[in-house]
Amino acid sequence: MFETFVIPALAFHLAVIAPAFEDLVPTTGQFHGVLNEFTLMDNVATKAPIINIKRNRKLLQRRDASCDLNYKKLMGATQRIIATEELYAATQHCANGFYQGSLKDWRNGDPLFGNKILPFFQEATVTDLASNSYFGDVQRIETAAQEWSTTKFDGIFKWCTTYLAAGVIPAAQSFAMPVADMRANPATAYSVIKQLYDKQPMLMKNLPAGEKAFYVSSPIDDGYKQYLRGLGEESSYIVELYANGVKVSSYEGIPIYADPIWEPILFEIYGADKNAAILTIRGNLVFATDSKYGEGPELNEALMVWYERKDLSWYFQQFIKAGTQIALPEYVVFSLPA
Amino acid sequence: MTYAWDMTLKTVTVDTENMTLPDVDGMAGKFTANIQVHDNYGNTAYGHINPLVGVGSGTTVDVSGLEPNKGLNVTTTIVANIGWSATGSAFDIVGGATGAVPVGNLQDWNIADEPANADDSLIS
Repeated sequence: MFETFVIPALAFHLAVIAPAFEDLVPTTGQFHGVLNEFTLMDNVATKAPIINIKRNRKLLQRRDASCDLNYKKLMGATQRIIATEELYAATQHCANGFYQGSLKDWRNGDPLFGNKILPFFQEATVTDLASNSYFGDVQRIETAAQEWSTTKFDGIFKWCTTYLAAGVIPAAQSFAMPVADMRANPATAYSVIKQLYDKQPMLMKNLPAGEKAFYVSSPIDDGYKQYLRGLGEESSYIVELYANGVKVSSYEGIPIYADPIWEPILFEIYGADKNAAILTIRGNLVFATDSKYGEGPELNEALMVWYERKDLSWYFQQFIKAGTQIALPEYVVFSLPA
Repeated sequence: MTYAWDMTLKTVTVDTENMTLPDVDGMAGKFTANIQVHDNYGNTAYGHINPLVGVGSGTTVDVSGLEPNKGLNVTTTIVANIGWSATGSAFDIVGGATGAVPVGNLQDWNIADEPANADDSLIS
């Protein structure tokens, strides 16, 4: 008899969510962005404090002749809170299998079924998570023309603008992104990278280059490479960071990561020739989810697939929690389209 | 919040009627709402209310592109500018006789327990 195909919450987390944040260029699956640069918190049921990871200074004190000591605080856990939102996806496929012979595999309880359908959800889920993690804004007006999910939970750039407005990110650490085709104007791309670097706050400057990273839209990365090529210097600014040898360019030793999904999303939200860029310390961007969150009778089913005879349709339901936060907004320099 | 589906004009009107909005930390007058009207064939129509106030703000969503055969579902997310949000819905709104306008309340509000308010997370 037909049974529901269920992936428990933890297994779903390990199979679909966690790999998107792994520090390897994915060789399988559809998503090739830089989600791995997020710090992943996988046990945030509603909200959790983020431990302050800022470098501490001024701990040493001069000893007096008494036995009393002054105790200083090293880290605080109350500074910033990350929250997750409950999300779901549900689809109905009428008359179409996921792949040729899927109904047969499923009927026979073939383990192939799970392996073959997982990529569908991997692609859909992870792409939506990525687009929201960067550009999500629950206040953005959603229209029928939008092809990217950017209104389901707040992403990094929403936090950037929120913190900028609140003065947590000083105004000097942000600037309006020039409107230009960066690939055709390599000098502009270079100036964006340089401005980000130059606008670092004093405290950020005491951190080594390896602890920081640029996250930029692809045209900036391309334009910057063009610029270096024009100088015959391209190879001098290449660093290899991914474990399987993929090269990324760098500026003053700081790697530049381009996430390919930024460009189309920026085009959709802001229009042509719009770009975005962040310079921050690595691990500063935080993504939270709850690897135990699910529905169903045991409240542990994250993905359910079944065939409904009544509608002659495949049904699929998926439940997930997600949220983002910036651990230390003071350590962010960013630029968005005006 | 209420909805009203006018089958002749092919619109769904979502209205705040006399809902009570919280007024703490300067939240008043800073609400917006995103509205999605789904049919049961995978199509969606979108609308929004900005600003959303307690009395008499609403919007009319054109649902002429939707297939009303199996009824409509309305989902609305209310967002305050400091991060508080709530999502509510009305499912399986079915049409009646010609000229009838099904009306009802959006219900089952899922209030996101966001820390995004200024007090908690904007402290530097």
